[in-house]
Amino acid sequence: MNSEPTTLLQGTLDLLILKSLVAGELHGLGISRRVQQITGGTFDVKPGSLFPALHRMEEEGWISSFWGESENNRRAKYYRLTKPGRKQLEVETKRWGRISLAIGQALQSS
Amino acid sequence: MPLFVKVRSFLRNLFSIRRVEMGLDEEVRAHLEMLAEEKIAAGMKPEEARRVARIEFGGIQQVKEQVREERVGHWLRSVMPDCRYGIRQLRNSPGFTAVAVLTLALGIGATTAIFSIIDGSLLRPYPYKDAERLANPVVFSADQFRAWRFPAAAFVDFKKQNHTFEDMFGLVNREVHFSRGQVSEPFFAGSVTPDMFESLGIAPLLGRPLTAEDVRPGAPPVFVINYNLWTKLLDRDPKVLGNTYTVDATRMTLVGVMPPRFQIGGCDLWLPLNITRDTFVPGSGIESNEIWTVGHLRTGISPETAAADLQIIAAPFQKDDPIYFPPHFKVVVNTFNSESVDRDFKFGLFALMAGVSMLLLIACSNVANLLLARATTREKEFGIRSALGASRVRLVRQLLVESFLLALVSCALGCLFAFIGLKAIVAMIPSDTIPPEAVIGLSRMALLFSLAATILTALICGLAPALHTLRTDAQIALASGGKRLSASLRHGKLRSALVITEVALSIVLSIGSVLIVRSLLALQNVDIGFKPSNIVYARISWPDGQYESAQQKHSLFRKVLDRLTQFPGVTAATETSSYPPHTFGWTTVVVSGKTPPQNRNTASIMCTEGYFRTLGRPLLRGSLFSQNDVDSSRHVVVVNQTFVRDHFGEEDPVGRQVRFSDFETLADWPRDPFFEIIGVIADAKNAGLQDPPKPEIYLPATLTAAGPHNLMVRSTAYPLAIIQQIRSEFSAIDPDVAVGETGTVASLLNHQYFARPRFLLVMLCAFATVALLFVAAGVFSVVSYTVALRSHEIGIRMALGAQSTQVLAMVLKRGMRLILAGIALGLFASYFLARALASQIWGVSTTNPPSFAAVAALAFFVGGVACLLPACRAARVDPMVALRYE
Repeated sequence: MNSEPTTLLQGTLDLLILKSLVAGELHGLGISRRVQQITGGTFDVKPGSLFPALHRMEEEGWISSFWGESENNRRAKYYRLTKPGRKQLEVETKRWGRISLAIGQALQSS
Repeated sequence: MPLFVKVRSFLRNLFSIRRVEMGLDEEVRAHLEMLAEEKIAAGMKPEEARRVARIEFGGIQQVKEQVREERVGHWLRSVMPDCRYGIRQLRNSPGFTAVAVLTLALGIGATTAIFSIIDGSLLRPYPYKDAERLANPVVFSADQFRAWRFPAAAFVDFKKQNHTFEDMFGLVNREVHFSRGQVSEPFFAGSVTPDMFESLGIAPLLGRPLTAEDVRPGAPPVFVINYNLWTKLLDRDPKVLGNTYTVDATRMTLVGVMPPRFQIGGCDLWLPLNITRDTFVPGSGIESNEIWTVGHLRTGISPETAAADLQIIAAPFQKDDPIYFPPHFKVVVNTFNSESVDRDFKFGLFALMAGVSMLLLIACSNVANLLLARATTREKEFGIRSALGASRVRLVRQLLVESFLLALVSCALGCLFAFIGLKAIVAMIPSDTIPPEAVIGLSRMALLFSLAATILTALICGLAPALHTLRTDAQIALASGGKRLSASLRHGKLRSALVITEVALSIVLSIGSVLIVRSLLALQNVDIGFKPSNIVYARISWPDGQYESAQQKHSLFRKVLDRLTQFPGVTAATETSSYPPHTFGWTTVVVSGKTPPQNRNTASIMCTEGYFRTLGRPLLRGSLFSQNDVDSSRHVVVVNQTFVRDHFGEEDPVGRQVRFSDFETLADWPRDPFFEIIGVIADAKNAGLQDPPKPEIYLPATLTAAGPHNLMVRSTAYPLAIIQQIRSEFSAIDPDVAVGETGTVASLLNHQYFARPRFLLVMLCAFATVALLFVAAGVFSVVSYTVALRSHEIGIRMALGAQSTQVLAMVLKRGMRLILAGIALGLFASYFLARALASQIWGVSTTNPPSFAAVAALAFFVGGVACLLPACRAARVDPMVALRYE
């Protein structure tokens, strides 16, 4: 497993979590696995960063939570994207696009 | 919408935290179990899977704490337990808490007390409406103060033609006799334009103020009194309104009583007065027709703009009234607040404020040191807390909360100290130093100030231990079991810096006090030019309508003087218009054959032949008055050396002619205005101890009835006996003549010249002493603490053969190094800071080497004693005991 991922840029984690929820509601572990999957295993979100981020984003109103049943019929807390959350995802996506473009340009220039 | 979500979360976090926490618990547990299930599904054994899941998850408590810290309102939520914990911590070490609270309380209390004085006498001395805009014009000529009251015509023009004042009223002071029944007493009355009451905006306590109706022709005479008069004379009887009293032989009705702080013009009572261009305004003696002109500046108008405005209006008066408006005169507008106390006292207050701020800083660094020492011994506790998930920020906040708690308790105690201390300080402020309107006490403003000082204190005190904690490594703290040598030595630097600062601050404060002491001593050694001891003065109050000529007054005096000189012990006695250090009447003296001077700076004293012997003023040239000169009002004058120097240089003044242009407007002034100089006496101080004497001129007391006619007696008898004798002589001859204020000239001098420097001195010395005590305590606690930390090391040294004297020397050397560094820094700073005190220091250089040396020696001694005690303890360390704990 990759060991770099702990050093995520501030804001990048939010973006990844929001993105992972686009397809539908997930519980904490699910989000973690989904992020791993969509980033091709580059990012492994540890509970130490995942939980505070989830709770913060919930209080921001970007995601909402409810108690549901997991695949193994276990009670688990699920998260889903809210309307402000989708808007936030758009904003973050654009921002990230700009940043990665800029950094890419910077690195290509001699 | 997001805001709504946020508020809901905040409320939930605040009020149903238990449910939120349970949710978090369950979420974490579910997460862990799902992780484990994942592992099991991948083929792990259940136990192994759970273990790996836990490792992958990380510290459960830490994760939870991190989540908690992300919550809205987390800050508020966690402060309460911090406070509770802090209180418990402080209660657990009552000795430390008591010392810290007492130290801070003294610092905060002293600062609050001095701020209260500044607030009461400089910032908000006057209770009147918009007092910060109240101002009055004065006139200067060539940088010399000339007039602060003006003739009626000037007042009327100022009031009518100005564009810079919102309103303007006039007030004329004079002494009146207020009688009820048989008793008649002199009081200070202000004849005022009635709009004054509206302008000042203070409602009477009882009855009504004076109004425009009261100055209509034919209006019944009425007056208003101040609170003191009501209390003193009328026993605070509310039924006195509407009663009639005799004020200067006129029956007047009392219509109002003003509240305590209404003291405008320093008057006891106010009479209505209409001022037109040709009103003759009754005033005291030669100061009739002089109107004190006061008003509110319009909003946004500066005193300079107003002065320029009035300058134009006053310009035409230069021709008619050169006494008030001399050629090249300059109008200056003074705001009330800027003139509430004189410059020296204002400066003294600021010096005191600087002094107490240093005291507070010393107190802060002392407590910071104590807290730092505690923080080092609490490293284990903090290590455990951070292992359990507390963030650095959280730990630092805990420390700050504790120092805030300390500071808050100290603030409460400090305000109590300030409240008690202020009573003592206010009693010590020399009279006539602050305006009568000013009230000095713990105002709301002062309490706010002390709160601000407290917050600052808490931050300063809490900073050092907080920094310390930030640098502490939890693992090392736990591993070494809380007894750490390396760290304590490392952080010794911060402690050392604090001690050095403390010592330096106290040096600055002590040097300031020593310089003030030296200048007071120098002042007391000034030769004032006469012998002030054994002189009694008595103010004489003349009944209305009698003794209207100077001769009538003089013949009464002659009888009293003759009888007094018979009294055993009396060596000389005189009738006089003024007694030192006060001078009644500054005049212009024109010497025949010379260009008339443009200033009114000559002190004129009306007296009889006994004056010079009473004060002990030696004659240098010519002759003094004879009894015949005085009795027959001969046109002769005596002058002092400065007068001769100013007007004649090397010429012989005796026999030359002078005239008094200012006095020639007096009704009873002789037709022939020329006077002959018959003698020259030696100079004596008459314009303060620090300044060279002003010119003086002496005239026979029989020339005019205007101005005061008082009595001065030199005797070896007990002053009270003489005063008793004076009273009985007057009442034997004419019981209507009242003897007013009495006392000794020495006490007047004392009050005038020494009271203020002494006030400053007592305060500064008190602060400097407390500061030195703080420093001693600070040095003691730091050295003791270091010794305690190093007792193990000292034990090893002694076990290896170190002598106790060597250990003693080692500890002493460490302590004294700090003190010497502090002394050096303090002396260096004082060298520059003492210059700021220059205006308060006299007769000694601000960098006076013996003063600096004495203070340094004192600090060295005090610091040495404070080091010696713990050093002795170190020397007695028993190696067996010290090493046993290893």
